[in-house]
Amino acid sequence: MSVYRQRRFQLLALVTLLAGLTVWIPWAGVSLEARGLTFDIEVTGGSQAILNMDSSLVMIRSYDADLDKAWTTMGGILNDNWSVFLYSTDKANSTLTVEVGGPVNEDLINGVIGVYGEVVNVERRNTKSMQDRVVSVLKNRLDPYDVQGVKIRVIGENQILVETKSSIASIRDLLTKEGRIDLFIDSSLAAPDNEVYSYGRAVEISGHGAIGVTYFANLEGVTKFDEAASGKAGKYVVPYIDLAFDAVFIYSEDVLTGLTSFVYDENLLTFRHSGLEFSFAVPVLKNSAAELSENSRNYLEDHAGEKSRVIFIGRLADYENLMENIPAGYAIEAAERISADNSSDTWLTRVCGVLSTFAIEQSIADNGLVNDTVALPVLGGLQQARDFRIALINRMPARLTYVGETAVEASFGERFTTSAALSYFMGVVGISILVYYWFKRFEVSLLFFAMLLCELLITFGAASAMHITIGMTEILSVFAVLAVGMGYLFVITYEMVGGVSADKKINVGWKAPKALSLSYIGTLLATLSLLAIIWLGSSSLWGFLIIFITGTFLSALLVNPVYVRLVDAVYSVQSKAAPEGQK
Amino acid sequence: MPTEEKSRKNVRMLAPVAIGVALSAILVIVALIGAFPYGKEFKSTTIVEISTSAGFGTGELISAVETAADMDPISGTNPNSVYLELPVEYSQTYAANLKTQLAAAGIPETTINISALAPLISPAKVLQMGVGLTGALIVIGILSLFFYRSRRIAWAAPLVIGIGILEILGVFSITQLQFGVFALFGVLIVFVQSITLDIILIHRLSRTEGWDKKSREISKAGVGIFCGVLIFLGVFALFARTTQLLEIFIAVLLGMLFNILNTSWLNVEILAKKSRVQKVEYHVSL
Repeated sequence: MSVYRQRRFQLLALVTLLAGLTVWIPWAGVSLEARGLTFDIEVTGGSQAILNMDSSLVMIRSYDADLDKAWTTMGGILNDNWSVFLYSTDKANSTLTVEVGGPVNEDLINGVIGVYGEVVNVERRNTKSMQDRVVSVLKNRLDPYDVQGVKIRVIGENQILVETKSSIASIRDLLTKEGRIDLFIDSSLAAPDNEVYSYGRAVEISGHGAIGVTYFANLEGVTKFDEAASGKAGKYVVPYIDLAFDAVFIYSEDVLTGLTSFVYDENLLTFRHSGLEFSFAVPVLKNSAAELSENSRNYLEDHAGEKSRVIFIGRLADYENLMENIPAGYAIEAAERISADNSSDTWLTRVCGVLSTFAIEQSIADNGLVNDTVALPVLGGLQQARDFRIALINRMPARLTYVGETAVEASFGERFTTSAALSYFMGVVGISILVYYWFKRFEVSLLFFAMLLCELLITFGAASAMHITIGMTEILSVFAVLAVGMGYLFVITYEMVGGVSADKKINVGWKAPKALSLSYIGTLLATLSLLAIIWLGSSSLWGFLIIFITGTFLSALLVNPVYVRLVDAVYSVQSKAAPEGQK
Repeated sequence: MPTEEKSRKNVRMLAPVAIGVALSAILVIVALIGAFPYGKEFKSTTIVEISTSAGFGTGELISAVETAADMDPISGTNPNSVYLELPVEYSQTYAANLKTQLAAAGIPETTINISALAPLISPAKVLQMGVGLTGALIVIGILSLFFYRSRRIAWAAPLVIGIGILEILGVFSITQLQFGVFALFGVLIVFVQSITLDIILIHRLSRTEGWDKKSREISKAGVGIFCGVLIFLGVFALFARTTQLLEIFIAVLLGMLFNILNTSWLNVEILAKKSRVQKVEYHVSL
């Protein structure tokens, strides 16, 4: 049977064609899975964001001499509000030093740990272990497999530098959301964050017309939610993301203008929705931008033990006259309007941490949750729902705030991709010439050219299918795939036609299994050993290794078996260059 | 053949092997104990951030920094600050001097913040890479034992590959050429190419007679692969014109050279010894 009719050949042709179409973008913009290749920050440029990191190191004197037991108790209570980690213990003085994932003060912690201990010292400091945790969580959120070219580095002790090809606005939630979710009904906590069992996929929720994340509660959480929702059909559940439990918001009517759905309630000291029956679970003080009112000042002084931050809704510059009168002990922050806030209502809900709202169904009010799940609508769309889910799964151990961003130019220049493509092509041509010099058969040389081109397209196709961003690392990895693939083609050719006269008609097909076994064993060995590097080694090499393993594996399975049959076909036909007498 | 002549021939045959082993030993020792020239990706750099809080606009700050620093320094700006990442060779002392100069130009010192920027690849990651590569060599040994049922092959194959990598590091160490992340990728390319070449060698030597002829063919295939890789790299370097390619080019060039030498001298010798031993056993049993 002709080699062209064999299934292996047809499979290779089909896969190469599909891979070629995947990396070629004639239909860019049309909603197909084929996305073309995306290039990383070194090739196309991107953005750089600076984030402030804020955590505290708190020394607590335990009233219980058993520090393990004390940590279990106090750690559990503190964990309701912050991410906490035990830093060190001192049995002689009965003290625990705890890393707390946010800016805290003595009163706030004393208020939480109550009868179990007292605060000895609070230091606003990001320890090395906290920095490592933050970098690791950011990596998991932005580029878990190290294939998107995201670079994250710590500046000094308090800042993080993130470089990415994406726009910072599109990943801002992933950068700054802590990832805690609390469900409120009637302004009361119905299901706290620590009752979440897990999060399901981000999918479209029927009936809500929104994209949502499925929230699985544990048994205790389900009981709490059912009790809170019982008999409240039609009332609204308000999920809060990163509820600012330790903050007091201050707004001025001159700054926050144009609200349509929310009205300020002087009695509740917060906003309530004018149509739906819910109000915010965070205190918001109405104050003119000119000076801090007596009421506001009294409120802040009265709540000094339970609140530690004042957040102005707007720019700090808008509230310049108020800042000096804020009582000592409060950290001052601003919640500015960002480009994603398309209305004042959106701005206010985002600032107050409201994810969305949804009404309690009659069946849930009567019989409780079905399958222990709650579907949380995310009004921003599927991508935002996915981002929230990623943030919720990978909780940030410290508070991160956005400082600023800047554009980053492509370090390899605009012509880099053209250069790389030309290099591949010229390299393949050069090798084909070398092969001709070695084996003296134009057909073998042509086969090398075709097979290496197939390997190139298949590897890039696989990279595209795996959504791997192409940077210098990946380009070098594809180059390594070609180098190894070329090595196996050399070896297979030697094994099959080594010592055979170029102009001789000969059947070499019987040597194919042995020749192929070399490439199979070599590929298997290389793949398994590189998988060991992925498993044991640093993620810095993953992009390179994933492309390399995929490329060599596909080449060994798809390209080499076809190549041996084509070589056999070539040598079973007498070369035209053979002397007349030998024909 | 007289004993004296036979012994002279043995010495002649063993000489290149001895030179190869000695060279390898020197490079391996240098790699293990020498001062290793880590590239910029492995080193911490310095960030100088100047805040706009004192009332200076970003344009004014950029101008002040460019006057004070004798390089093209600005890495970026945002509404609140201007910052520059100093190259690795510029130390914290340079940053401190820059701060003094900027203060002399009227920019308050309190608005200038000097911090260390953590390396892209931390020492912990370097250690992980070392563990990963060692693990990979162990996997190669185990798989070789499984496929070829020979303890000699099981230690020879990873040893040759491992020595090859250490030799590359040895040359970088001796010459103090910067070993950056691209050189690391070069080492990985060499690593997989070495597997290719060694497996071919083992496969053919362990299953066929006439090892000397076969090993020559293998060396020829190795040279072919080597030339092919150089063609790719050469063309790439010519078109892309990025300095990073020089790192990878040197690493691959050295690695391929060492691998051919190691494979031809060390591995062939180890396996040939095995062939001779087997032959003697066969002869005796007759």
